[in-house]
Amino acid sequence: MAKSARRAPRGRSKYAYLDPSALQELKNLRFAAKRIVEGTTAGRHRSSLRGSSVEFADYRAYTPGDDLRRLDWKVYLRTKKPYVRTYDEETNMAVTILLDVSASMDFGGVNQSGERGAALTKLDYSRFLAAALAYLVVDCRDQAALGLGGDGLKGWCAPGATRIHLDTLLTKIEKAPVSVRTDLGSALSTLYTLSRRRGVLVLISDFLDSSLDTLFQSIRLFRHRRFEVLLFHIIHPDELALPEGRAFRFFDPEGGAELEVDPQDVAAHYLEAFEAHRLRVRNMAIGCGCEYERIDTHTPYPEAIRAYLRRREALNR
Amino acid sequence: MTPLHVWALAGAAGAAALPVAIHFLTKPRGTRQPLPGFRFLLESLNQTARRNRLRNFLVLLVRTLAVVLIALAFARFIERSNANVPGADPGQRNGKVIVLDCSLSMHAASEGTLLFDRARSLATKELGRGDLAEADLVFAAQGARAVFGKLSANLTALRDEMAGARPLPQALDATAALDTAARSLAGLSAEDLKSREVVIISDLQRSNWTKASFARLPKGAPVRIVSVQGHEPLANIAIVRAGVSGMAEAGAPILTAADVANFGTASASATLELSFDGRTWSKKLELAPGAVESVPFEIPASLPGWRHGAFQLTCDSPLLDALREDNRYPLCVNVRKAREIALITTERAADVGGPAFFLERGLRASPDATVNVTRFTPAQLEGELDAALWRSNVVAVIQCGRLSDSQSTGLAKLLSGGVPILYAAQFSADADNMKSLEVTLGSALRLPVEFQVLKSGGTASGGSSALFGNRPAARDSGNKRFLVTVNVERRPFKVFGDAVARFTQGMALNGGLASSLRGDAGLDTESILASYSDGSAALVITRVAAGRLAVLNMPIGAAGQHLAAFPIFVPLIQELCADLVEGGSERGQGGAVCGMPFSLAIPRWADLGGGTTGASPAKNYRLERPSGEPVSIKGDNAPAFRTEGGNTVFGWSAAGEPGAYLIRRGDEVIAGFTVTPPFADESNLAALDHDVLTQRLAQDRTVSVVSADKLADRDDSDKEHFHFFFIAALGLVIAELGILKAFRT
Repeated sequence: MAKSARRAPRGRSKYAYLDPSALQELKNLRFAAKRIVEGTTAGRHRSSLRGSSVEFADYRAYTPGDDLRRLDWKVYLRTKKPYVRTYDEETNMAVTILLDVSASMDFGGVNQSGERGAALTKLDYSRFLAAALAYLVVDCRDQAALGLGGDGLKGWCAPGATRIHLDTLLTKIEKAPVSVRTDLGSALSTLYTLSRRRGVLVLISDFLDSSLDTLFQSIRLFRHRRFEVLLFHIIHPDELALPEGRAFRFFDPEGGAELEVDPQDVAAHYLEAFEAHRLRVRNMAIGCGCEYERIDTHTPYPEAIRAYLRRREALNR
Repeated sequence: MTPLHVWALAGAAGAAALPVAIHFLTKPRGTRQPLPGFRFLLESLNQTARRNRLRNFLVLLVRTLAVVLIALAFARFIERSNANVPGADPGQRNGKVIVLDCSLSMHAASEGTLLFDRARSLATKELGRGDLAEADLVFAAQGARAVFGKLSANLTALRDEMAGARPLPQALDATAALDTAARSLAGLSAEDLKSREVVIISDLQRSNWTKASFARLPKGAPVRIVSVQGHEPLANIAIVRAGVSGMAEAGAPILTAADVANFGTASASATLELSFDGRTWSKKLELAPGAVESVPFEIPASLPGWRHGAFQLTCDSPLLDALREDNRYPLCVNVRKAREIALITTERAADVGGPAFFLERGLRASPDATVNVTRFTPAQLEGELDAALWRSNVVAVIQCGRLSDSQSTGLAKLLSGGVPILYAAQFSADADNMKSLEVTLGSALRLPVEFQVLKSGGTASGGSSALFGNRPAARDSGNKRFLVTVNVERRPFKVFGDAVARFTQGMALNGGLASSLRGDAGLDTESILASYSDGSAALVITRVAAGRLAVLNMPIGAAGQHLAAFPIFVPLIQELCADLVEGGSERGQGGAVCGMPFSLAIPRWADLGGGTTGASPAKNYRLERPSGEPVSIKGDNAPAFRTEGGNTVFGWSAAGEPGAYLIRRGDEVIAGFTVTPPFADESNLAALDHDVLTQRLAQDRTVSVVSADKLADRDDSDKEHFHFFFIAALGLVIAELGILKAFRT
């Protein structure tokens, strides 16, 4: 199933947010866990359990009850002492993707007349990103789970590694409704209760949450369970700086509040505030032991994924 | 303080609201746009709101102020001193007669601007007032000319006339100007006059205005005088008089002199240049303030004929010479071949020691001139006079016995024709001849004294001399009379100066006529230049028609003490002769003053000379410039030759441009004269005190005086205000930029 997805003709995907051909370049990369994970089946990822596997770990003295097949006879003949070889048990990985579907993510910039531009919104971009990650995860026979975070957890799809499951995930990603408000902390709390074993949590969001503290409190729960948490901070270039011009009536996509302001008056302060927010997210993420990755929507998502995965692989070596 | 342009103030009010209105009306409609980072916007606004509100307020404030200041700059606030025009606001006068001073003094420059230009500018402003319905314009100089003679609504024509107005080289006749203005207002009722006014724009020169009387103007119409004089009295140097001293004769040097005056309050250095007959001489002068310095020039001998030239004064410091037009003084001199004197006497030429003998010697004894004395008998005065008599520079009459009526008529003809006569009276027949001459000349000759036969004891039969007083009786002895009083201020005694007493002291004469003052009022007693101890006149010089008559009542060649026995004889006769030749003017030929009536008797010999054509000899003459350019002036002021009593007279009702003029008949120059500006009157630019005008001369009229300086100050103030407001507005614009920069985020 996964192979067929990877072989899908370029631009001919039945999924709106998945273009396998675009991911061909990523076939040599894999989304591997940096840490030890708890899998349900044998897989490519190191498990916290010792067992039978091909990855030699260590020797230890034989104790009654050990499997004699693991006794290293060569060592016994040399040392006259029984030792058994221990191996790192490899297991599959559960990657939980939490996609922020709040209204603030539904921003793709505006044109001169104030109308919505043709560019991708952050949500669309995140959808592409989530779909690609899910595809990569399932393609590696790992389990992918999906949560839709808005004003709480708006949708959930339990981990799975099958093609059918991937279809379900992609459909869910495609049809995820936009939430009026953002409360990722609540969504994560709910997700925490739904996650049965440790794995990887991927949070794709703009982090324009009403309370970052609450959000990171929830993230800390995952970290406490040794989850590897990846935070993808999605930023649209048009929100980095206020538009040029004299008069704009800005409204809050999530609250509906409106404000008429001359961008020139507040542009610098706005930029400072936005950058401060981004740094705060980054610092809090790093402070929690999370991986933080800023992704600008003008970067093609395959390129963003590739860059990230390469960096990740490099760090794993 | 009133705004000159009220509309500008209204505009200012509107303009003040304009930025606010523009701010709100042109406030751009904001484009509605989502902003995910709305919270950051709010946060930024919270930080910058107060700052931005302050900035916006300041920007709005400076913009409003800038617009208001620009409006105020154009509003041009001025102070109107209505206090000088009681009960009347000039702005409510819808009719006015504007009297514009066009005299020579208006040609003076003050602070780089001609007074006349300033006056014309003010007059144009007066004509340009929006509330003015009708007006008349009077150009005032020696004469006054009204454009319409009545108030007219044709202001355009007045403005055109104003544009063509020029100052004239004439004095101002303020009385004529006021009379003309009064005529323009004639026929208006008292009610109408309330809304009319007379505006006089002048430099208020003291010499012109001190005798003005505003009583000539109708009551009810206020008079507003605008003085165009500057802050300080204008300094000026001028040639106030110039001419030839003595008689210009061929072969003899010509003595000329110019009186240069400094009317300023500071010493002035100047150069006086004399150009005469193609040659030039110059002298450097240092003129003390208020001084009048006589600068003589001795011109080397010239050829005979009419010669002309001019004095030119150049001040080293232009600031000390406000009026340049009075720095040139024309000269026109008749350089005679010789002094021709006709001596009419019955005494034979061969007789020695007689009166005519001594007088002829005295006449001939000129130190520097060739004198030709030709004797005539009284009988030659009868009928048509000999041309030689007419050409004589002086006709001397002595010991000619009792003249017949025809002889007296002949003598009278000479006098009327402009020939000066020196009558030496000492015999009883001379007293009769005087009376006969007076009868013949009629009103043309009115001697201040009546000559009588001297009675025994040396007392006159007439009364005492009120002019000279009575002599102490102790000094009279027998028939001798002492010469006790002489007028050293005038010729011929002026030449003796302080030494005259040495000449006349103890000068006792036997004989002569007695005289008594006439009782007629208004007689010219100043023409008695010397008198005896008995009160009789010893010398009388008076003008008779075009000529002059000198009666020398002193015995000459008689028995006992006679004039020829005293050293004063020759110089007295010479000086007397020169005075008669020169027409009574120390500076020679005499002349016309611009704008003033002028007449000149054509010498009779010219009429008698050949070449006359037609019945009227006047048609044979023409007036020319020395360059030969004919003078062609049409209209009322055209010069004209006319025949009066058989003599040709040149007449000019108002003398024209300054300069030298020649009267020709054919190629022969008959006479010459100069036309000069009224230097003495116009060169002193001192202005009359405004109080004199508003009080003494006002004559119950409402007279106010406004100084153009104040108007200029107002203009300056306006300009300063304008500049201040404008610069302030500019400063506010810069301040706005500064505010925007300071509040830049």
